[in-house]
Amino acid sequence: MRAPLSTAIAIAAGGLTLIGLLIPADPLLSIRIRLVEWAVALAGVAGLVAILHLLSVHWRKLTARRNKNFNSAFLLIAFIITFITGILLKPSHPTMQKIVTHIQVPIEASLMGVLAISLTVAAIRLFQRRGGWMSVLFAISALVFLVIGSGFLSASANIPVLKDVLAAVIALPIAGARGILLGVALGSLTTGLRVLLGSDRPYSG
Amino acid sequence: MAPDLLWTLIAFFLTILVLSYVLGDNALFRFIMMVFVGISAGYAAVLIYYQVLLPRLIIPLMTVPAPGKAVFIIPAVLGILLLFKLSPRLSALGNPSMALLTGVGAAVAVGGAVTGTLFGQISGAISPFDLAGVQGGGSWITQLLGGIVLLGGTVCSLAYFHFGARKKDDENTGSQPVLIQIPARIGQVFIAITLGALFAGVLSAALAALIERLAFLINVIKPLIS
Amino acid sequence: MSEIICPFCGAENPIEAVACFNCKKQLYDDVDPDASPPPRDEMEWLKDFRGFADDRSAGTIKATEADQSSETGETTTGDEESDVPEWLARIRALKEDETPAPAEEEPVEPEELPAYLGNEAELPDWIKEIKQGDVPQPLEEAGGDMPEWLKNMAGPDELPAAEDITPDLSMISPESGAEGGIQLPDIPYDLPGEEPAEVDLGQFTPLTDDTVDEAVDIPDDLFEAIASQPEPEQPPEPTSAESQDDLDWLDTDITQPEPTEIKEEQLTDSGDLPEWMFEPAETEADTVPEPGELDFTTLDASLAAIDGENMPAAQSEAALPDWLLEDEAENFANQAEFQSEGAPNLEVGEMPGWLHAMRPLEAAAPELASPMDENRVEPTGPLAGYQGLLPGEGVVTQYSRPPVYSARMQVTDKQRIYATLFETLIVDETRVGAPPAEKSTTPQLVLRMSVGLVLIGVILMALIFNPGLAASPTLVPPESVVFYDTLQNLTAAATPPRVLVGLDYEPSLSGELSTIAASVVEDWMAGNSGLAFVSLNLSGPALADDLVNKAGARVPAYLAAERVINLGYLPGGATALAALAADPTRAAPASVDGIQAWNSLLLQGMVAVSDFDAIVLLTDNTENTRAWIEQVKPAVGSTPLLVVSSAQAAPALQPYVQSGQISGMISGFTGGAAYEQLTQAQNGSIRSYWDAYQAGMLLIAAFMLLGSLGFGIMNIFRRTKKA
Repeated sequence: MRAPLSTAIAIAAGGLTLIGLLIPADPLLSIRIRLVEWAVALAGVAGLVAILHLLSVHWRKLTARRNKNFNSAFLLIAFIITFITGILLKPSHPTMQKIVTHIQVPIEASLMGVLAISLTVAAIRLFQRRGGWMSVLFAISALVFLVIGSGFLSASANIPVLKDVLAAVIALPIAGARGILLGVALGSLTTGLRVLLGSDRPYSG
Repeated sequence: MAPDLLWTLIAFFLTILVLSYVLGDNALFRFIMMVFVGISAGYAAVLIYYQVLLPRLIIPLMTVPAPGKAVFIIPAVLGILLLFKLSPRLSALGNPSMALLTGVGAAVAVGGAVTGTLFGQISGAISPFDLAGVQGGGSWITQLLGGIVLLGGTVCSLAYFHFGARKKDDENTGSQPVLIQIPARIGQVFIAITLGALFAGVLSAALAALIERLAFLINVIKPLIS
Repeated sequence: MSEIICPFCGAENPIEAVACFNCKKQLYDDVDPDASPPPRDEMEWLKDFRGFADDRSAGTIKATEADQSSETGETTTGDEESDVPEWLARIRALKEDETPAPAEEEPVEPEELPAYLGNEAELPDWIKEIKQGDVPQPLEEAGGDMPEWLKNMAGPDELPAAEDITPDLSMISPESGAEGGIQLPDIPYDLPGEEPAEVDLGQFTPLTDDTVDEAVDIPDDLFEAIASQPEPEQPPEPTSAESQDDLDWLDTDITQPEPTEIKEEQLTDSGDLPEWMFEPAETEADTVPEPGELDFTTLDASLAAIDGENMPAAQSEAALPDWLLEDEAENFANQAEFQSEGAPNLEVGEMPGWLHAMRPLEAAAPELASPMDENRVEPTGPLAGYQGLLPGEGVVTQYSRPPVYSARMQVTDKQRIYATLFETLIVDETRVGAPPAEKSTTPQLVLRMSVGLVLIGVILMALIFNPGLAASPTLVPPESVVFYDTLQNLTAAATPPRVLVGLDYEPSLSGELSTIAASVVEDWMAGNSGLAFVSLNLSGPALADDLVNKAGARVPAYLAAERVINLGYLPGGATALAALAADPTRAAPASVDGIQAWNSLLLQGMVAVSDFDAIVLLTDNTENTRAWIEQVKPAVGSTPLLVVSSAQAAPALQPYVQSGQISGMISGFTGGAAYEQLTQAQNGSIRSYWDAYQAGMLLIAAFMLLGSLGFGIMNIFRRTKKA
């Protein structure tokens, strides 16, 4: 067996957590809470590891002998300035908040706005390649919900038949969404059980 | 220049630069992206330090007395071991930390899926058939019909995700049983409708973001013009 | 075979050479090295033929100097008139050596003879005489038994011009022997079917003037008869190559200096040659020409080799038909090869057509390796000077041209077809196809630019001018109503509610959600609600502060510093929510400012999430909402879970709304506008965006409809075109 210690830790921690959930009584509940707290802390450290890995990749790109990417320098400089500022000022400082609200938000929101144009072009070219009946149904559904979502048919609220039809049409995606949610939940359940039983070991990489 | 104006102008130019991607990719756009990633990473690192490491690991180790310190030593040690994941040669040292994370996360997911989604959604799927609380004469038919459609659509959508096939002796490839194939076809219809609604929702959200950004630009330019 | 190998040094010499150019030794024993090869004369054979006839009568061969010199341009001498054909001389010599006297020889049985010789009574006298060994009498003495061709042979004075004479070779047949017309010996047509035995004519030495005593008498009217014949069918004139091939059978032994013995039986049994040709010469001085010097193209030489007493008298040269005088030098390009070494004055003769067409079957037979010549004297070595020895060095150095084998592969048509098919298959496999042409991205860029510019333009117009054409939505979803009702109920309570606000949207959708949530937060603030913000993403705390500032600016009486606490960032996703649900005091112990949150005025006395009056979730994705529902909702019990979601997550969250796990929900600009309708907000943020939003949505729907129809029709046309 590969990584027996890690497998034992995973099974033990998961088992205790699950038991504590099912039987919320001391000491199981305390153990569960402790384990969950440790997991939260380790999740934060894992986020830090991800950031450090990002920095190391761009450092390698900057210091590579061939195909140097000088854009990585801008990334590293921006990180250092922000980190030092944040360490000194703390996250609650207005300046740190301005970084989010006047740099991150405009950039990300503008990217989302560009996405609107790209999605519109993609919707125009939906049938550029051969499409089956699923594509036709998808296109019709998208068109209908675009019109409904625009509020254009709000004036028809007084028309009883149209109102009921609209209500029925709006309720149609619920069936499919519920099927998707149930499928996702079943998949999460299956995957979790496989990890708890030691069949899957994603941590032994 | 007021700091707010400075930040506003920064936001203004950043918005213009990113929206210029509509005309095509350019070097300035790529520069802005790099700066954005650096700033986001820096802010995230600061937040993790102040929100996770300090209050959950460093301060308890420093302040908690010895008997209770063991509780914090374990996550501290595990956290240090997790840092070894950065090294390809020593990444195996971080496996126990990852194992704890994975085990606890799997247990949480299993518990939540069962109690949260499965029970709740199954309950929701059969709730329309509870006609006790229905008021009015014709509404119970509508509710019943709606319940049948929703339940049938849910079952058929689940059948579409059934990927099991049985191979017969006279066939080279397996095929789904007939009892699965028919509901799967119907489930495809409901899934297509749902995906169309989701696509319309994404378009709506993206359009809203575009409108908000353009409104911001107008709000910046208007005072300058007037 | 245009060269002869020297037996002494192995050097190659021309066929007409008498002495080796390298070692200066004689190539032939009986050849005078100083003697020059006799000039070739096409009519020499006839001259000799006539010369034999004259000699028979007068003991000399008459030559028509004028006629022959006019055709060949060569002068003839008296010596040439006495030349005997080499091949005939050799045959005669062999006969002398090996066979008994012809006189002792019994006449050949009629059935063994060629057809024309079958009936002895019908034979001409001269042939009879030849058989009997008598000296052939002149034609005029022989009388009526003279063959027609001999009778008709014209004299020299009566010879027509060569160009006027076209011999009728069709007359040359065994059947037409006694019926009339020119009757030439049917020698070529009476060849036996079986392959005649190989005759090594190389052993024959050419006849010289000394060897020929008697000429063959040719009747004078023979030539006249020949000349008077109609023009016969001309056989296809052999080309030089063909003539060369035709002469190959003659060449086989020409280069062999040592002729092999020819048995009499080989010659007589096969019936190839008439018996009169085998009459030995009476004089011992008869010499057989060396193989390389035989001139078989000349009938005159052959006839000259015949015993003069057996041969008919030669006719005068004037009576020779033209066809006999024809210049066939062009057909025999290498007549110099056959120059007899023993007869330097021999003229190059014309090979008649019938003789030219006559080719023994062994024409392409391999050459004899080493011909034996008993008269050969060993020139070198310890046995120098001895005769009759096996060839040593000379044979080794003598070689014949090896057969040339074609290097070309013999391929049948079927094999060629198969090979072509196979090659076609392989060529297709190895052929590198042209790479697919790269599609130009210009149309896509143009489309994106045009759509983007149009969309931005419409939105700007709507935002700037704000026409107010879009009607506010009147159709409010039920979940929005529940949301509003719940909020109103909580804020209307005596005790201001304490609300846990979960901020789980990304900065990308902060424009939409902050616009929608601002109205909601304003209403909560208006009710003096306590708000505890917690976030599962890193930018959440900052966004929460921004939201509070934006909403608080519209509610100046609200004391955000006291009524709002930011619990910060919770890492771990569902695990963090599970921890929050289990014990929020330990999951989020401090605020973003570092203050112990659960000891603050706002959260004092609270130990669990169920202590909150409501949970409001600001979300833009389904996963985080599902995590909140799965982890927190079970822990809060009946506490309402209100969701403000982005339009992109709304369809996936409807099942939770329908199942009651989400108490109330506002989704997208439409839900926000509906909520503003419900709250009757006058200066709502969504209202200022509503025109632009509706125009944008309808424009996108129009683009999608046009594009789908256009490309769909194009696909249909493309499919019909393919079909």
